[in-house]
Amino acid sequence: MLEKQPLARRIVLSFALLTALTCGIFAWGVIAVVHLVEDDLIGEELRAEMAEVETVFVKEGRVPDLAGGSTLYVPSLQARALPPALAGVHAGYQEVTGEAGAWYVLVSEIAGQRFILARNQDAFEAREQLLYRVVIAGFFLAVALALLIGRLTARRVIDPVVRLASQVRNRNQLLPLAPSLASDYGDDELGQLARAFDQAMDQLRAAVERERLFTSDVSHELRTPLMIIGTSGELLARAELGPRERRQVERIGKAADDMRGLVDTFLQLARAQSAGGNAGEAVTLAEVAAEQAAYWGEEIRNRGLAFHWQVDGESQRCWHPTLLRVVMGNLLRNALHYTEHGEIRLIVEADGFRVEDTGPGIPETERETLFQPFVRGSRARGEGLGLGLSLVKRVCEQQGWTISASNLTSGGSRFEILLGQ
Amino acid sequence: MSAQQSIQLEFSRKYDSAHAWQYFRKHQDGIARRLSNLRDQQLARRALAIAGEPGLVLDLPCGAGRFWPLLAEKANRVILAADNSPHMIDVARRSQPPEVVARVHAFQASAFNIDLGDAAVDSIFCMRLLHHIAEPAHRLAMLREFHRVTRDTLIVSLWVDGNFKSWRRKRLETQRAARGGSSANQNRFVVARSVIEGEFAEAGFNIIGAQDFLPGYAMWRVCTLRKAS
Repeated sequence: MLEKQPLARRIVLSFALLTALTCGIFAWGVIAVVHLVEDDLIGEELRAEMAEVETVFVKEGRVPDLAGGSTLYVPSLQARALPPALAGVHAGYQEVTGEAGAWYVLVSEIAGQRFILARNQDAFEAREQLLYRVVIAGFFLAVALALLIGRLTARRVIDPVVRLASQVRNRNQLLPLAPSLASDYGDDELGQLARAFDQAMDQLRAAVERERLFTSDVSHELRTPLMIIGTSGELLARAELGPRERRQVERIGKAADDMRGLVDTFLQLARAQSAGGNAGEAVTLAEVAAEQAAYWGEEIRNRGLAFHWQVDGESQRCWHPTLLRVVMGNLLRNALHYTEHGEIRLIVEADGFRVEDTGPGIPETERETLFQPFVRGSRARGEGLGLGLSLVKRVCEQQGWTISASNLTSGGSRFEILLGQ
Repeated sequence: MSAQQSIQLEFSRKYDSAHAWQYFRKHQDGIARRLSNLRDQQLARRALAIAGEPGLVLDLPCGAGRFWPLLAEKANRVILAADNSPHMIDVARRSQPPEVVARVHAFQASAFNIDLGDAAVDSIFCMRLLHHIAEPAHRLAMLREFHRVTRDTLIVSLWVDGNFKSWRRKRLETQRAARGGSSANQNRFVVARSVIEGEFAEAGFNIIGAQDFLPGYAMWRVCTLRKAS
């Protein structure tokens, strides 16, 4: 967990650092104070002992025996040898360390004699070591505890955030149904975050709904006038017309047909979004291919190109008729627009189809913008807005189909659609 | 997906309208049945708590909607319910309290082919289905489909071994076989714990909680699984 979540790691680290710092200062303080107190206490004790020695020596003229842990050396009066470590002591209180151990030493001049009072630190040192050990163990224990509590706190803080993030991440799936998030969280900052997400989600939902309504309304409203243009054109074509007028009327009729196809597609896209991809009637791939091949085959041959189509594999799986028609029709139209001579092939397989042509292929520079709306290739012929491939792309995305474009080694381009496994 | 579409299990054919009503009443009569139903609800409630009280739940198979009121206890929970039999959904809609039914979006779906997008729901709540499926390949196909549709957790109940009832069942079966009797009424199956746990792992789930209906005695176990990340 620590490696994955820097935020959690930061919380744990700050916990550990704070504890280490506080405990470190305390431990240092304890050790320093103990040292100071030890120094003071023993100094005072030695002075009191020395005062007693002085009283005895001055009153009774003898060197007293000491009962405590201290040893008295009077080199000028005693035969007892002075330990070599104490040889260089000066007057007053001091700490002396030598090979044989450490001593606190008090040196006084009493009646012209040099009195050296020494106390070995060994016993005290042992107790000091124990204290140090306790302090160090306490320090590490505190840091370990801080790590543990920090980790728990981090989990308590981070886990709900992670949960909220994963809840938000997939909300677009069933947007109209998505439950509100805020009531899962308390009235804290996380609750506020969840409420903010809820609001954003509501707005998104409204926007999607507006867009859907707009598309379907517009498409629906446009159908009637387009129908009128189409039928009027047909009626007009029956009248006596000169060749030029007839050509214009035919162009009007064809444009109206194309536009009606586009409007139908947009309407279907809007409907499919709201109905979750539920198609009324359904067709198989081969049926659509036969129908499109009949229509586009004639167009292609009229332009002096060869058209060839074949079915390599068949599947009984049914698809959305209008959308499949749009995808196939637009790819064939696209092939026609870019091919000067040669042939156009439509190959149907069990799980998809591909359209190949002998045109110039797709230049490297245009590959990026191929599926963007209103972009036309540099070598396009005929009329068109550059909407075809972007529409194909949108339909594929919406239906979960995959489209790929590539260049053939023999020249020309290939568009391949995979409808699903 | 076309391979999964073809999985149609024999037991699922029996749920016509009359059978559906019978199934609804099954959990209502007799003290033992009522008690067992209460225990079922308790286990389900705990499993949902372990799963972190998911907000968007798919109840599959929903049967006669036995768990709908329980699922609806959380006020902001959105409940999707699906069953392979439209009759079952119909009975559920008519038999459950209207305020609960109003909150449930029911649709017909096979557990092998759920008509929802990837990671569409927070949790799939699958009670009393797994023990009908004998074929490991079918179980795996179903678990994989669940793995696709759920975003986070899966709650399943199933029959496991390692308890008194499964031992007795095994003994009865060997006796029946020794007498030369047929095992025609085999539409429910016990799976070894290690086997099913392996299948969960293979389908990409970690077990985050398991509760037994009556530890040591009953075969029912409710497992809460989370998608391995």
